[in-house]
Amino acid sequence: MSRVFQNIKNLVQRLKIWIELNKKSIGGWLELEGHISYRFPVIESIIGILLIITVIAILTGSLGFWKLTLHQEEGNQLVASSDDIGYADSSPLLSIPLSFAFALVILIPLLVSYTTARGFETGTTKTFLSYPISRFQFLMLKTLSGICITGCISTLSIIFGSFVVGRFMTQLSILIALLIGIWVLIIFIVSITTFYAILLKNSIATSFLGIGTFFLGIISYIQLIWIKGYAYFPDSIRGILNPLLLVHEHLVGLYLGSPLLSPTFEDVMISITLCLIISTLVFVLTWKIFEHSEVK
Amino acid sequence: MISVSKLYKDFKMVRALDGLSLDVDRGIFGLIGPNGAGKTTLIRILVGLLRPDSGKGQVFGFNIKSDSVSIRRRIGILHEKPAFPGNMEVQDYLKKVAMIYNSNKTSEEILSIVSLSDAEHRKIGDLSAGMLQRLGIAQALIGQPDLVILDEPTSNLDVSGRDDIVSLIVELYNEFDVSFFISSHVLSELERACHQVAFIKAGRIVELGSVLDIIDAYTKEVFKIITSDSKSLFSAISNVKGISQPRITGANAITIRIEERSIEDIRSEIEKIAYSMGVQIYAIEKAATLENAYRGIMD
Repeated sequence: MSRVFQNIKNLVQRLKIWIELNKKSIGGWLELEGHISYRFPVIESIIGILLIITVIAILTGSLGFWKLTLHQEEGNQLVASSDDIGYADSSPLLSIPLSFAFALVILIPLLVSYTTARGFETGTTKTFLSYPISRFQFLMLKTLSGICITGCISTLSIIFGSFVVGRFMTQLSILIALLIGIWVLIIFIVSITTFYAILLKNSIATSFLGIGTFFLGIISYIQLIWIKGYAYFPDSIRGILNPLLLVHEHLVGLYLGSPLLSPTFEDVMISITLCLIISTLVFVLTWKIFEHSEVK
Repeated sequence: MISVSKLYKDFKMVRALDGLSLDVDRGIFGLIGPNGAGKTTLIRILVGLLRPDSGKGQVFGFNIKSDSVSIRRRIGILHEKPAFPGNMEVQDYLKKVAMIYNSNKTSEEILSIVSLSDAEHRKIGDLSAGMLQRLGIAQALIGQPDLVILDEPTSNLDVSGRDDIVSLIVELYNEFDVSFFISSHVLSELERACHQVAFIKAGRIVELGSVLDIIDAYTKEVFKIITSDSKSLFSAISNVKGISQPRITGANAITIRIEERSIEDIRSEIEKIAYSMGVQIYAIEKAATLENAYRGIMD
C-alpha cells in the first residue's frame, strides 16, 4: 500500500515539475489558441446575450416571477406550468435556461471542431506543430479549451437563466446536479466533434458530420423512446446519449416525489460514468489517429 | 547537425523520397531541386510533421521519428506557405511564440534584427508579402534556435525583397552563428548565401558539396557569349565543331559547352562568324554559375 502511495507521490511530483517547466509554453499556446479559435467577439457576444437576458429579467421584474409548478398528466408526461401566466410547457421544466444551454453545448463544440479542422486546411496546425509542442499537448489543449469554454458559458447560461425561471433553480443542489449533467454532456460532445475534426481534417465535412450526428442522435433517441417507450431502454443506457436529460428527469422525479417515473440516482451515476468512459476512449482513439497522421 | 539515411516516403502513387541519404554540417546549407523533387517532404520529415515509410535520421543527435519535440526546441522553421493568425498583431504573435519556446528574446529585439520594427503593432493579415516573410524568419528566430529551416523563403518576393532576405540570412549566420537549411529553386540566391548545397532529383540526392567546388566541377567547359543578336548567332554557331549543348539563355546571351577544342580556337571562330553576319560580340566568358552547374547535374 505504501508503495502505491509512493508511486502516486512520485507521479504528482513529476507532474508538478512538468507543469513548472511547461507552464510558460502552455500559457503561450493557450493564448494563441484563444486568439485563433475564440477570437473577439465570439465568446463576448454569447456572454453579452446572457447578461442582456439577466438584465431584462431583473428590469421587467420577472425575476422569480414565473413560479413553475409541476404536475403529472395522463401517462408519464411531466408538465411544468406557471400559475401566474398560465404558461404550460410540454418539456418538463426549466426549459428556458436548459434549452439555451443545450443549444450552446451543441453549437460551441461544432464551432471549435470546425476551427480545428480548418487549421489543417489553412496551415495553422502545420505552423503550430512546427513549434515545440507535442501532438498530445496540442490535442489535449484543443479538447480541454473546447470543454472549458463550452462548460463555462453553459454554466453561466444556466445560472443567468435561473434568474428568469425563478424558484426551482434557487435550490443549489439542483443547480449543481444540472451542471454536472451538462459538463458530462459537453465532454461527450467535444470528444466526438474533436474526433471528427482530427479524422477528417476538413472543416465542411466535420461540420456536416457533427450536425448530422447530432440530428441523427436526437431523431434516434426520440424515435426509440416514442416507438418502444421509456421502459424499452434502460435509463442508464439512454442517459449515455444525454446525461443532462437524465439528470433533469431524475430531478423532476425528486421534485414531484414520484421516483417510479424517473431515473434513479444509480441510473444517473451509471450513465454519467459510462459517458465519461466512452468520451475518454474516443479521446484516446483520436490521439492515436492524430499521432500517426500526417500534417501537410 | 542533420544526418538522414535511406529515407523512403510514398504518397499514394508518388514516391517523394527514394532512399535519400544526406549529412549536413553547420553553416548555410542549400537544398536545390525542381518542384516535386522531395524538398518539402524532407523538411517536414525532419521536423516531425510527416513520418518516413522507412529509413532513419537524426537532427542534433535526436531521432526524427521519436524525438521531434526535442528537435523542434532547437530549430526554427519557415514553411513554404506560412499560415499565421491574421487577426493578431505582429508583436503579440511573436510574444506568444517566444513563450512556447520558453525564450528570453523579446519581440522588439527580433523585429529589429529582421527590420520589421515599424510593423510591430500591425495586424499580420495586413502585412505585405515581403513583411510576411520577414515575420516568418522572426518567428523562426525567436526561440534562439541553432538551426533555421527555410522552405522557399523568397517565393512571392520581388528582386529587392529576395536580395534583402539573402543578405539577412548571411548576416544572421555571421553575427549570431545561426545555421540555415534553405530549400529553394532560385539558384542565384542560394549561390550567394550557401556554403554547401545538395541537389535533389526524384527523391534522391544526386550531388552534394561546397558551392564553389560544385560550380567549378560542373562549369569548367561552360561559357557565355554576350551578343547583340543571340537568335541569329545561335543558328550560325550551332554546328561549329567543339561546341555542344548551345542554348539561348537570354535576349543577348548564348551558353555553350566546349569539347575537344580550346576556348581560344572556338572564340576566334565565333568572332569570325559574328563579324561575317554583322553581329556584335561583347564578351565570351566563363559561365561559372550555380544555374549552369544545376543544368550539368540535372540534365
